[in-house]
Amino acid sequence: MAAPQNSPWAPRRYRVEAHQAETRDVFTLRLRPLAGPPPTFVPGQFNMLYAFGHGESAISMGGDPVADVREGYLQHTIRAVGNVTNALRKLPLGSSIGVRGPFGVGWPVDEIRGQDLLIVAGGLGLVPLAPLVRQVLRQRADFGRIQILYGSRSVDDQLFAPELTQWAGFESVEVYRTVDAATPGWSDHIGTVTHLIPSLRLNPDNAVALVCGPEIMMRFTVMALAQAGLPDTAIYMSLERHMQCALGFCGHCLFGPELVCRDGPVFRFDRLRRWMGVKSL
Amino acid sequence: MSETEALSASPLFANLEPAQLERLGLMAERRCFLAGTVILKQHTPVEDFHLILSGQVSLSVDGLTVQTLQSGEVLGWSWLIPPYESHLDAITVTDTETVSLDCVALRAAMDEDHDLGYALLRRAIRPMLERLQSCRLQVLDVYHQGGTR
Repeated sequence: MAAPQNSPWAPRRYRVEAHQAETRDVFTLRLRPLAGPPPTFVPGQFNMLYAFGHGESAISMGGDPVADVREGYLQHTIRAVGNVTNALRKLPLGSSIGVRGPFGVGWPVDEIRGQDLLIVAGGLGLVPLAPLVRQVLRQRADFGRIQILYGSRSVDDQLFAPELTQWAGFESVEVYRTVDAATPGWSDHIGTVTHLIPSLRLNPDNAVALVCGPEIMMRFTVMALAQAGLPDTAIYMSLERHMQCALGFCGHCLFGPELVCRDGPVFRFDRLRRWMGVKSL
Repeated sequence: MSETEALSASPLFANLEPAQLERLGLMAERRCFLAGTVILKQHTPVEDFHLILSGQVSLSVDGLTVQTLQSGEVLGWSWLIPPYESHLDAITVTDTETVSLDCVALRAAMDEDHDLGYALLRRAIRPMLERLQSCRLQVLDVYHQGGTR
């Protein structure tokens, strides 16, 4: 029996309108629905992208939550790392894919208004944070000082480099870029993103940290944030787990008592601390 | 800001006894290095211990830069351990201001005043540990692993 229309189980068909290589293994797809407008979304939510004949993969919402939806498309920045994502990478322009979503809980945009923001991204972790930055910068007066830390493996692995430079031009926005291994000509930082935190002079009473990256990087980031005086209740992070149904039914993405697809992927850290140290969870 | 005030603003020296800070202040001087200055050279004696007040310094091994340091950080620990030779090249990336202490005088002060020596060693362990953890993460190549999003 076919899934009823508007069912969260039924993928909606989108057309691949543009394909842009970001790095050697990361690319961005611009997707336009075959019929009707795209859904609105909260930065930090995700879609299930269905490469026909290959399967589905959970991919963070990218692009701009206001401008893209107004223009009638969605954007996803994806690393080609498995069967589905490699199939997505090879899709020619004009081909169609299935999209379910958006799903999950995104960044708490309204709760963090008025506060200083420390945005810590590692590698592809910048993708779910970038829509948040774009939204926040559109409402710049609603937020305090914004510090963006972005760590990547190498200079060539950096995402959105021109846009990072653009963000640094906003008032009271500081952007710190660091790479694990530099090449000649690199004049920013070298080392891990966590290494930058002690010199930031945070105001723990009015700051919130939003963190996304490889889990080990996030664990060390939280340690550095705690050292800087930030309580667990002022730290939000986005988790990545293997998601299948995206609706909280199948349990594949269970993390302690939390279903990452339904209760997350963005969590306040006080909900996660107990489970972060549990091996293989 | 005097040398003593600059030192006391660093977690490494904050809350020492006033007399201890005063003593350290006497062996310290503020220095400015233009961008591109070699502060430490690999396999050569370390004569000064530098606390970075502003600017950025790169650390390189055999020409390969492994880390950059910025304000509030300490440049090098080789002054603590014989043969007191730098394991790295330290070169300023931007114009850099430091407060720098004479290593021989500092070691002598730590030997004479064990309370001071113990306090400084204990405080030195945290940034050393943070730098070690940072290096471990770099070696793990964490960004290359993992997910699709």
